[in-house]
Amino acid sequence: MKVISVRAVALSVVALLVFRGKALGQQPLGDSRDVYRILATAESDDQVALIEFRPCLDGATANCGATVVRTYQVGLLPADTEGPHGVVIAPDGKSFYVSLAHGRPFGYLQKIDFATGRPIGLVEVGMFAATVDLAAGELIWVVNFNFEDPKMEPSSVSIVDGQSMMEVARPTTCRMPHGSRLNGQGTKHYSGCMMNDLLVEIDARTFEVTKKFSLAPGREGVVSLDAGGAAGDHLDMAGMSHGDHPTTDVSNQCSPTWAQPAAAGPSVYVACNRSNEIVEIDTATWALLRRWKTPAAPYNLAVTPDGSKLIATQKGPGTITVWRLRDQVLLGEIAGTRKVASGVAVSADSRYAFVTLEGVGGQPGTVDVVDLATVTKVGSVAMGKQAGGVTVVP
Amino acid sequence: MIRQLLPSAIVAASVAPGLLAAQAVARIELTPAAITLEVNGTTKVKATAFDSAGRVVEVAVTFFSTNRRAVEIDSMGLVRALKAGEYQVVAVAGNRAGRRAEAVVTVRQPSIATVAIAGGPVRYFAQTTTRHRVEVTDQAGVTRRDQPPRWRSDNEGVVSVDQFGDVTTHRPGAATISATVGSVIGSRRINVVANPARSLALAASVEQARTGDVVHFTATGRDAGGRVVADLPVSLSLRSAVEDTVIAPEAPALIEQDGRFVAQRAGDYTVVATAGNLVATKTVSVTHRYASLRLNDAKGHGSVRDVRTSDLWVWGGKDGRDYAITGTWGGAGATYFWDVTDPANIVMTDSLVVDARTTNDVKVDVEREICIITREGASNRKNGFVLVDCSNPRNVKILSTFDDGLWGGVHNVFVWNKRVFAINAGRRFDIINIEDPTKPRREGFFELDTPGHGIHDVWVVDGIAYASQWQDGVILVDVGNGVAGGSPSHPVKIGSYAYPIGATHSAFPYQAANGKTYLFVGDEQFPYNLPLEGPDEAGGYIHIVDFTDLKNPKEVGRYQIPEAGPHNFWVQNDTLYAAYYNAGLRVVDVSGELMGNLYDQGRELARFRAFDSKGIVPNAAMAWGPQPYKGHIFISDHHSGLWSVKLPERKERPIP
Repeated sequence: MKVISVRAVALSVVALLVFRGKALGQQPLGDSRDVYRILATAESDDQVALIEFRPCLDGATANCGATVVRTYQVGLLPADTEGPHGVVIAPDGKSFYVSLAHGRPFGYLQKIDFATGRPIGLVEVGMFAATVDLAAGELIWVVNFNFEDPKMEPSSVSIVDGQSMMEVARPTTCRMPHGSRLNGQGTKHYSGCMMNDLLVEIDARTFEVTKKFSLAPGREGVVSLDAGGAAGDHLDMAGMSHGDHPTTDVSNQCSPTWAQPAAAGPSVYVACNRSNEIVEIDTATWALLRRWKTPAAPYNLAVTPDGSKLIATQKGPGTITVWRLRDQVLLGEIAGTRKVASGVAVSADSRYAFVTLEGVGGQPGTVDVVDLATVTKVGSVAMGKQAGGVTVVP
Repeated sequence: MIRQLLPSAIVAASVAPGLLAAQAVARIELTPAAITLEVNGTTKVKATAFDSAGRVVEVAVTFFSTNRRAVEIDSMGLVRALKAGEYQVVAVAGNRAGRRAEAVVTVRQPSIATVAIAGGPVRYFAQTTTRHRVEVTDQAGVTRRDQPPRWRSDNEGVVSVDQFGDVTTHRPGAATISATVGSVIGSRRINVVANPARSLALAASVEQARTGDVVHFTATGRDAGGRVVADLPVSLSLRSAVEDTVIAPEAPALIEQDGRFVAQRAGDYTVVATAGNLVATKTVSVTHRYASLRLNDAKGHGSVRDVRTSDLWVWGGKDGRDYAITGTWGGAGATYFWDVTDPANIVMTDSLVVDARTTNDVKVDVEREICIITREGASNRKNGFVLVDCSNPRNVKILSTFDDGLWGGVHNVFVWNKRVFAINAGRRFDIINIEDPTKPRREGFFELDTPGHGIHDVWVVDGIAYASQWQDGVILVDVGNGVAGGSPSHPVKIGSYAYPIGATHSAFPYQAANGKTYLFVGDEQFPYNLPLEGPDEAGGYIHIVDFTDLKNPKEVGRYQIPEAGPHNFWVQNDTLYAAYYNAGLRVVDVSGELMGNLYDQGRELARFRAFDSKGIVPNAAMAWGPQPYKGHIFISDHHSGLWSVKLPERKERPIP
């Protein structure tokens, strides 16, 4: 679920200068005739798949499309499913970081050498380590979803120094934080709180929570930093079903599953998984700009680096929607190859979206490739079960 | 962590604030680059960012420590030392591809505060030797073991002491021994009295034993009047004459200072007791126990070759036939049902697919023929377990599903007294009442309050739950026994045992015929991580804990196979049946008192490795779970399905 985060034209130039040509010696990106490489996690197979996508241009049908070229086995214990979730490439392109949701019981962030596939670093983080993103100085931000906690304690975001593989901070945010991204400048980190209907901003310099914003319909606005519960608070969820409200502290009318900063500017888009909406917040004024309806259960989001489009996965119908951001027009809804659409990442040239579909039971996971120019599916490849996190290899 | 915030030098209206400053950073310096502090000492570091031309640029800087429990750094670069050692603080500036600089912080050990001498006898008899130790604390209150003490005596004619703290008394009199660590001295005044002992005798509980049998030696010193000298320090040592068929043997036997002896090689063993100038010896003869058999006969196989197999349960159906259920791992959520009435001819009778990728554990309420199937990897992320009417294993039917509060997944379950004990997301076990299997309801739960606690398995016998909780060890919980007033709605912890490895994965209690209560506790470890090629190899071993005294459990033995590790196991009729992952099934005699490594003692009765050329991993055993049943042993193998073998009648077989 990693978006190649070159969100401003000026910044993209900087980023490309930094990143290009360093990873795996592949061809430079930016030209749609290139080979695109992505990494995608298979949560129920403890795998990360390296996938190559060659666009089928000029009517070609051979030697093009999406292919799994390598599968990395990740985790620690072959006898337990540890659930790789988020994945991000190291700045030097020689390794990648993958979050492992389940440990004993805490999750981990694992560092894998790209060339050999060997684990080269490991650090324990919080409960159910999920989305990951990369910040300055090789700091890895890991959202601790804590989805499994029967007490539903407020959870946290782990910030890990990727070079020493030490956790350097773990600010507490709210209940079930999920779907996080840093803004284009790398100065702010945004995540949603599924059980508190909150958008949470963390200062990437201080690692402190600086703002909480209520996403509940009709109650939008900045709320106290104490909202969402403090560390140590817990709820007895016994007998509670998903969506129930045992106390006034829990609200999931929106149930935000993703917070996606715009490519440039102060907007943050939030997927309201329960109310079937995308909400746009202006983080400069902390005002609600707009909400618009989506197909059922929007889940993960990504924006194109050129800032023109927003791509959402819809977990319910297993579809991918592409939105024109200047007027929130739906450009198209594409049926996924399988059920349970999950992660999405966009190529640096804003041309292709790579979408993971979890599937059900013994079905393989799948990565679908969407041409954002034509808003059509142009590739699909099966991989390990329960495909989730996805990132484009720079 | 935190920041040193300086305003950006230039902010253009058309780009995001901070962008130009971020772009400008080509290098960052952190000064000083090396810092030495005492514990609780502070100093300030300064971060300076430069552009590509070497000019200083003003930019926000993030500081952090790579070990925040040992060294803190605040937003202004103020460093505080908390714990001795060598650490790093880091400064970062710039955008996602930002620059970083590091400084090494060396925190000196605090000076030693106290040294105390511990150990030794109540009375110091002349011409005896006893070991002493030191307890050292530093100014931070931390126990220190990094500096060996310098021992001395002020009167070596009366008492001498060596570098190990062994104090030898030479004649009656007084002396002071001291131990010096750094510049701090701890001392003890010793008054040596005449040794009243005039004779020493050594007795053994038996004259002959087998390898693996625990023999008790008792040394008794008596004074001139024949009275027992109760607190006479006696040292026991061992002399061995291993049988001549053994060339270059390893250490063949073990003697503990409490008099327990066990041999792992046949031969004659002489235990030597010394107390001052008194010496006594006693020799016992040790014979072979068994030769481990490789089981190949009466083998049945219910093959599962398209998905990994997990746990099993075998039960007798009300129709008079025998059945088994096996789970699957990393597949499509299938569970298989088998007719095992003829163990050599295992027949699949039915299968059931639930919304899951792994049905890791399966258990059966045998009385009511209700099968319990755990779920992990459900597509809607609501896992839990499924109750199945398996009274007709040819047509099983789902009675109910239960996922309330169990979304994170149920890895293991146990069923006792119409309650399901379900491991909830690796954190606690929930107790679900299934008196009405169509309407299961939560009745209680048990969760530790230790930091970072986790749980892997639970097994219930006579109303006591044995919860295997990784680093917290095994936790005994009254869930209906009543010994501590516990019940399913009010579980009460009654005991625990933890060991340093912290890999407690499963436990099985056993009431031995000799009156001892043993708890067999298995590790789960994969020390080689995930192999990039070839099958997995596990590590760890089965710990044998004497739990006869609930308040004072003692680990007395182990069953450890080199280059393999245990998974699930079962103990019945003085026999341990252990699924030992890549080492296959192991059958071990655990009769009598246990001590040392049973593997080395010839207590292994038999072994079976399931080699299936068409298995998930061909010809590679990965034994998952065993169950003895009606004279046969059923084993689920991760790579190949369900197997049965028969153990021949136990015979003591001399090693040729």
